[in-house]
Amino acid sequence: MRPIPLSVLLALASASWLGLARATPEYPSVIDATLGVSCGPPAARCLICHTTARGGEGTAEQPFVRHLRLFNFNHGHDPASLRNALNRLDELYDSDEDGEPDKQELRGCGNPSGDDLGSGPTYGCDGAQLAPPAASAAGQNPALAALALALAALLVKRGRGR
Amino acid sequence: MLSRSHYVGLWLQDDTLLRFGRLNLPFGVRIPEHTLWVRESTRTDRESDQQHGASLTYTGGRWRVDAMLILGNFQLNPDRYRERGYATTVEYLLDPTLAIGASSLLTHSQVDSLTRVQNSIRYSDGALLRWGATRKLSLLGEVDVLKEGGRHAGFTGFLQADYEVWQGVHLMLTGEALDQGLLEQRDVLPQRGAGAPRYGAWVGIDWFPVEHLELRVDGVMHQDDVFQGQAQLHLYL
Repeated sequence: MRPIPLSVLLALASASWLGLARATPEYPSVIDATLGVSCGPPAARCLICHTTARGGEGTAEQPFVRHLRLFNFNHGHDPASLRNALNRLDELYDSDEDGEPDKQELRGCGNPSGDDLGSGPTYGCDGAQLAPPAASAAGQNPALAALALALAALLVKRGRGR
Repeated sequence: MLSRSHYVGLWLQDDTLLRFGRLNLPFGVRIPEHTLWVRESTRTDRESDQQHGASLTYTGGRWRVDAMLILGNFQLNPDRYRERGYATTVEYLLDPTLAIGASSLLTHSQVDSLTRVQNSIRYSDGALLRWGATRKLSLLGEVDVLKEGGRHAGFTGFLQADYEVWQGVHLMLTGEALDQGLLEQRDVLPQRGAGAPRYGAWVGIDWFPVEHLELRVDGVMHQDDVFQGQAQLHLYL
């Protein structure tokens, strides 16, 4: 087997340093921070805007987010745009016409797009709930990179020894 | 401890396997890209869409048939969120490097765990293609009709070309499309991905420098979304 150059190991190490790819799980946290509440991170809260708890493009169709589009909030990965839209949202606007304004429902950890979501399904034997991972500053994990580099070096060494 | 797939299997004949346990749903092309729309919208990826049930697999001659009775994901609670139904794939080898097939899926749940739609029925039916066009170039493709509770019918599909530039280095180009169907609600206008098609593309390099090691880098471009780059390092035992 041909020897692998040092550049390969550096490429492997740098690749493992890249941040995690994810949707926009921080949007519920942005809502909380903007309105001064703390409603927790259950994935069910994605249903405030999305028609599925998995989120994703093309599923942001709930009444609340349709109204936020009027304030130029129309895509993911843009917390500043969501904050701006929430700040411009009228205090009395009621997307689901249930008599409780959207901002009041959000401050009460409710759902401005319809029925309250509750806690949703749980997973496993201990009733765990899916929650978006906490957003780190950059998402890198130096320990993971070091481990990946060490394992890659071991594999290369084994390959050279054959 | 987390286990995505586990089962007990019984060989009924040399070419027929009966399995009971938590299994990947037999639907469409089995690909690692679990975030491709064909896998996400049909909920048939091999990452987190496994279900408990019974599966009968036949692989004989030019035929491959895999049919599963879905009893629900028993890692999901309470029971009202679990889906029951079936999933199946039938594939035929036109020649040793070209396979065509069809898939079908139908499930029911009292409450859809993702959408919260009550008494939810969803189904998908589609066709698939696997082709080793040349020694270095392979093509995978799939197109599916979608229908889930609360939406009109939609569709999804993908086509992927994989070219091995030199041994262990693959250049991959993938195109995908999704229209999951217009919401069955008043005052909802079509938008890309729901009532109108949304398109996307992946450009990737998949590199196997040594045994048991894979490095993959992809650029993902979807309409109305930011560019996403992702890198994966896989170490295999």
